[in-house]
Amino acid sequence: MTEHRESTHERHLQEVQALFIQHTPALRGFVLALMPDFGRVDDVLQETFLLVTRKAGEFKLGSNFLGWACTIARFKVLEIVRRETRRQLHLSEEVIECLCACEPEPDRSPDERLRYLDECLDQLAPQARRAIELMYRQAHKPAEIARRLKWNAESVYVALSRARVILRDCVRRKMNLQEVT
Amino acid sequence: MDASRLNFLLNRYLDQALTPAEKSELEQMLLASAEARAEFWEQARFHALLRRHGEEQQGRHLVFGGQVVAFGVEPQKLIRLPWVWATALAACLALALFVWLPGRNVDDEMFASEAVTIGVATLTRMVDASWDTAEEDAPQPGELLAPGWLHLREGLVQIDFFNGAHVIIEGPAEFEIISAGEMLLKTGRLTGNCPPQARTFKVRSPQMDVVDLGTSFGFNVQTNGSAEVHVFDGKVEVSRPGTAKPQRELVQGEALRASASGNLETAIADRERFPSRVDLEERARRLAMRRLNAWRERVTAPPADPSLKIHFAFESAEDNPVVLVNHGQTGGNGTVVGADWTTGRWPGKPALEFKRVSDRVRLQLTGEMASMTIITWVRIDALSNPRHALLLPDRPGPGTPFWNITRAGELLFGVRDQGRMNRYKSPRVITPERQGRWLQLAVVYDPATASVMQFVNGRPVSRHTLKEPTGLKLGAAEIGNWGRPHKSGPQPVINFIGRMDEFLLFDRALTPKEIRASYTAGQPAT
Repeated sequence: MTEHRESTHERHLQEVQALFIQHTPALRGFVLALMPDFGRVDDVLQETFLLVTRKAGEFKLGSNFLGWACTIARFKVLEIVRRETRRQLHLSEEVIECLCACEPEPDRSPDERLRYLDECLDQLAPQARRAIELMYRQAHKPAEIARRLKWNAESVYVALSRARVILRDCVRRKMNLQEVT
Repeated sequence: MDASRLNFLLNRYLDQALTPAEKSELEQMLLASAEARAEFWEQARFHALLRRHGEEQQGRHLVFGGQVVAFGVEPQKLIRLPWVWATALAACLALALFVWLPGRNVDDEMFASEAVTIGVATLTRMVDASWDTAEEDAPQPGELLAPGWLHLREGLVQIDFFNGAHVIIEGPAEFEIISAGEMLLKTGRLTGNCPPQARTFKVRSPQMDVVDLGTSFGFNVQTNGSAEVHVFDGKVEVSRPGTAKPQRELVQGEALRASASGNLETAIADRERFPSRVDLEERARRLAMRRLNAWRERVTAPPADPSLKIHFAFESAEDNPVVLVNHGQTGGNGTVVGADWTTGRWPGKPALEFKRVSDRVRLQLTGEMASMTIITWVRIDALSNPRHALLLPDRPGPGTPFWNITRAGELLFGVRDQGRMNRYKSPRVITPERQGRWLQLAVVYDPATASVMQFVNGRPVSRHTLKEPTGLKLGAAEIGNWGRPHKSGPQPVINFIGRMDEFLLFDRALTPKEIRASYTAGQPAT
C-alpha cells in the first residue's frame, strides 16, 4: 500500500517536473519581465524549480500549471526584492504584486513570433542590429555595448528603444497578417 | 498618462538604467494606470522574446557562423554511430550539441576561441600510446578525429572511420586522416578491417594506394619509402599513388611489396607481423593491471600531501561495505548508504554504483578552507535528473560549496554567500559519448587568483572570475545526493547516476599541471 502510494507520488512528481520543463520559456519570460537582468533569471528559475518540486503535491494535474508556477516564481522574485531592497534595482513589492494581478494571458504561438522576429531583424540598420545583438545575444549591458561600439551611453539607449519599437511593430504586423490570411 | 514618458521609462527599465527618481516615477505610473501596466507587459514580454531569440541565435552561430566555436576543450567529440548514419548525421549532431551553448558565463576568452571542424573518425582505443604533440593537444580515447595529420610515437591505437572501417595502428607511425573512408600512411604499420557492409576504404601511401573491398589486411610503410600490403581475408585493389585505375588485385594469403624505387614483388601474407585486436586487448589488460598497482602504491605510500583532507580510494569493499575509508588527513570515514559495490576504472578496482534515488555517501568535514580542490573519477551513466549531485552540503549556509552536473551536461560549482548563490557553470562538457566512460572531473576554487576552474580529464573546461571570495565550510555533506535529514516530505530528485571510484578533496588550489598529472597517472587503460 505504502509502496503504491510512493510510486504514485513519484509519477506525479515526474509529471510536474515535465510540465515545468515544458513551460520554462514562458516562466523565463515572466521572471525577465519582473527582473530584466539576464544574469539572474537562471538562479530564480532554479530556485523556482526546487520549490515547485517540493510543493508538487499541492498541484492538481489538469489545472493551470503556468499560473501556479508563476505564483511560485513571483514568490522567489519577491524574496530577492526583499533581500536586496537597499540596492534599489528592483521594482517594489507593491508594484510587482499589482503587475502580477493584471498579467495578461500568455502570448499565443511564441514559435511564430520567434520566426517573425528573425525576419524582422533584417529591417534594422546595421548598427542598430549590432546593438540589439550585443544585448540580447551576447547579454552585454548598455555600458559595455557603448564601449564596444564607441558610442556614448545615451546613443545606445536610444538605438535600443528605437530598434525595439521597429521590431515589435514588425512582428505585430506579421502576426495580424497571419490571422487574416 | 504621458505615453511617451512611460515609454521612455519602460525602456530605461529594460536596459536596467533607471535612476532612483525615475524608478519611483515609473512605479507611480504602473500603480496608477491599468493602461500603463498593459504597456509594461507588452514591452517586457517583447524584451523576453528578444532574449529568447538571442539565446537561440547565439547557439546557432556557434555552429554555422564564420567558424565553429566551442567553449569545451574537446568539443569535437561526438557520439559514435553506426556507419550508415554516421557521416550524414555528424553535422546534425554537432548542431544538437552546440545549439544550446549560451554565450555568457564563460569570461575567459581562451576557452571561447578554439575552432574545430567536424570529425570523420573516432579514436576508440589507445594502449600504451603517446603522440608527438603537446600533451594537452593529444587526442584521447573517445575523441572524434577531424581530417589531419597524427604522429603516433609509440603504442597501439584503434581508429573507427565513419564509413564502418576500422584500423589498428602500431607506433611509431605518421598518418593523415583524409575523410570518413580514406587515410594516408606515411610511415608505420596497420591492420585494416573493412566489413562488407562498409563502403570502400582507401589507404594511401607514397608507394601505392590500397582500396579495401571488404577485407582484413596489413599495411606497412617503412621510413626508407618501401611499402607492403598483406591480405588476410577478402581482397584488395592496389594502384599507383594518386591514380584511380587498379594495377593489381590481391586475394587472401597474398602480399605485395613495393620498393622505394617502385619495383613490385609478390610474397605470402604474414599476419604475425601486423598488430591485431588480440594484441590490443592483451596490452590493455596488462596496462590496466600496471596502472592499478601503481595507483594502489600511491594511495598507501606515505608521506601524503597534508592539504589532502579527504581521500576516498573506494577500496573498502571487503570487510565492511558501508564504510568508505578516508586516506586523507581529517580521519573521518565516509558512510555508504544504499550504493552497491561494483567495478571501477580498471578491472579489480572497486567502485560504488549510484543508481537509486536514495544512494549516497555521507561524510563530514569540519573547519574552514580558504581555497579548495576536488578531484573525482566517475562514470556517468545518465543525465536524466535536473541536477546530479557530486557533492552537496546538508545545510546550505554562508560559505557552503556545492558541485552538480546539470541535465544538459554542464558542471555546476557554486558557493552560497550571505543570502545569495554564486554559481560557476561550465559549458556542456558531459556530451553523450562521454557518458558510460570513466572521466576525471575536477574543480579548483582559488581566491588567490580570484578564479574558479573546472576540468574534465585533466583539461580546463571553464574558468570564471570569483564573484565574492569567501572561506568554504562543508560540514555534514553527501556525495551523489542531497541529504536533508531535518526535512521530511518530498525531496528534489537530484541523485547522481553512475559510478565513482575515487574522490579527493584538498584545502588548497592545485595547479592545472597537478590536475593534469593526476589525470595522467589515473587514467583508465582503454
